[in-house]
Amino acid sequence: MAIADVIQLIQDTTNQITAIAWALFLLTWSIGWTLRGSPIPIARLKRAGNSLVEDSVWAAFWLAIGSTIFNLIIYLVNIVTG
Amino acid sequence: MGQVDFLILAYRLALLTFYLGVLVYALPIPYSGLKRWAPVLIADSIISAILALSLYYIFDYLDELVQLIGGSWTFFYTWMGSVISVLTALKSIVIALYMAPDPLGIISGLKSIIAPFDKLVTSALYLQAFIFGIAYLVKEYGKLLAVIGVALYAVPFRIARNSGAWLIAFSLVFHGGLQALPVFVSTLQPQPSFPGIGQVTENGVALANLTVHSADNKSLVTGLLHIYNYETGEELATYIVDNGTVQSESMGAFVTVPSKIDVYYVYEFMAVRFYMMPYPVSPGDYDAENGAWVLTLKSPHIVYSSLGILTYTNGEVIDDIIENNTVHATVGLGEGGYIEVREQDTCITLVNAPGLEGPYQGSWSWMGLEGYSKKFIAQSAGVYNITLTFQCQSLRKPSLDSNDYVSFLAIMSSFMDLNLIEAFLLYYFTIPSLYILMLASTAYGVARLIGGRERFPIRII
Repeated sequence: MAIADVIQLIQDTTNQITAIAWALFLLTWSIGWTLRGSPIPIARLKRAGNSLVEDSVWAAFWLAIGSTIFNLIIYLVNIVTG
Repeated sequence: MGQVDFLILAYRLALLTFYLGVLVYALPIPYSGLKRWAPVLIADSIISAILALSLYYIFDYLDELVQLIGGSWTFFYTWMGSVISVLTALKSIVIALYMAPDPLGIISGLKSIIAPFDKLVTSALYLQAFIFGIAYLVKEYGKLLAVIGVALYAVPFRIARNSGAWLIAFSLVFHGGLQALPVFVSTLQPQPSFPGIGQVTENGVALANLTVHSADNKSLVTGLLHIYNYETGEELATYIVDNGTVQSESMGAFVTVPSKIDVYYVYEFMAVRFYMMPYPVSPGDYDAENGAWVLTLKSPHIVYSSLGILTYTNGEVIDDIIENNTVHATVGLGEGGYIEVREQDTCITLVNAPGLEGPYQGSWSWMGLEGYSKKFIAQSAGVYNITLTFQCQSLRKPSLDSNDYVSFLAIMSSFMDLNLIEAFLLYYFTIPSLYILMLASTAYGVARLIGGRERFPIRII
């Protein structure tokens, strides 16, 4: 297996993981709000829901920022190296 | 697989690590042990990406820094070349000393003193060869090693982070550090100089047993033998001829000669100089015998030579018969060719040279000797017979000085100079070892800093 194939494999895996991350963000965000808004008066459950929402927001933030910055770098490198 | 491929791989791995971190963030599992990986992965990926993108800039910056303090690969290789050639020359001198015959008993007592010095030179050679090997690796493959290091560094979950960090640190530190090695060593200790070592470094040294003969293979009684560099014409040494053998001060019939270059020999007696055959002499022309090179030099122009008389021609000696005080010679001469007889002033000669014009008389002085010369010139080319009868009384010996190619006595006495030994130790052994240890510990420190041993101190969240 040539190194180009390895790079391609990693790139494919990354794309899949990105897609899964977006899906998980939606899922986690939904579960978080569900737990937080549920009519169950257990504080720990509510806190768990809250932390899930927070984490999912961070995940969305990093997905957006990371994809932008990393792709920008690849774009710039391609311009520089032709 | 080139360096660029590994850089792309490193960058892609950094991306993978990043999205894995985001994925961990997005997992709907509120378990803090798992979630703690998220910022760690994101931070690692950012550092790896920065390293992958800026590695070549770091190398370039390092090169500029090193050049500012006076180092460069050219300087390093020049320095290393000189160090290895000096050490090799010292080693060859020590080996020659061990093998040297010792007819005058001067060397034997000193051989035991040289033994530790021999070990010292050998160890220094090993050390320098080791440094040379590392330098070759770092110069030729340093950047490749560093990009492989970055690729390993970027593998998710810190699987190969230690080895990656070590590779990057090693390449960077040794790439910069080795170029500055000569500057460091020379600043602390100037290069020690051994007498005659320059000669040996350039032209090599061998022990030789030389004999000098006249045209009919009779030993030449006395005179000087000069050695010249065939390429440059520079005079390298002068030895005294004694009864056909060439003598040095310390080792009798064994003299030092260059072992790497072509030379030619010139025999001098009674103010006449003869180019000796073979001409020129290559290192391969010597025979080897008991650790010494053996060569017989011959002048085809010397008819007869003793302490009081020298008879020679610029033609060809065909035959000669030598009786007690009489020489019968047959020589082939071209037009204008000549045969000349030189005698000390205490000798009386009678020359019978039918068909030759002369004698043309002259006088000479050489190395404290004085005398007369008789020259006979051929008007036409042909074969001529000459008979020389001579009578000498109270002959004087010339006062001759030799100048050894490499004086083992001088070198040996320098081996016993404590200051020189100290300088040698520092320059060739202690300071380079110290410097390499410094570089290794610096590489260890840098590896730890970029995450070889501990977690990186920066926290993103």
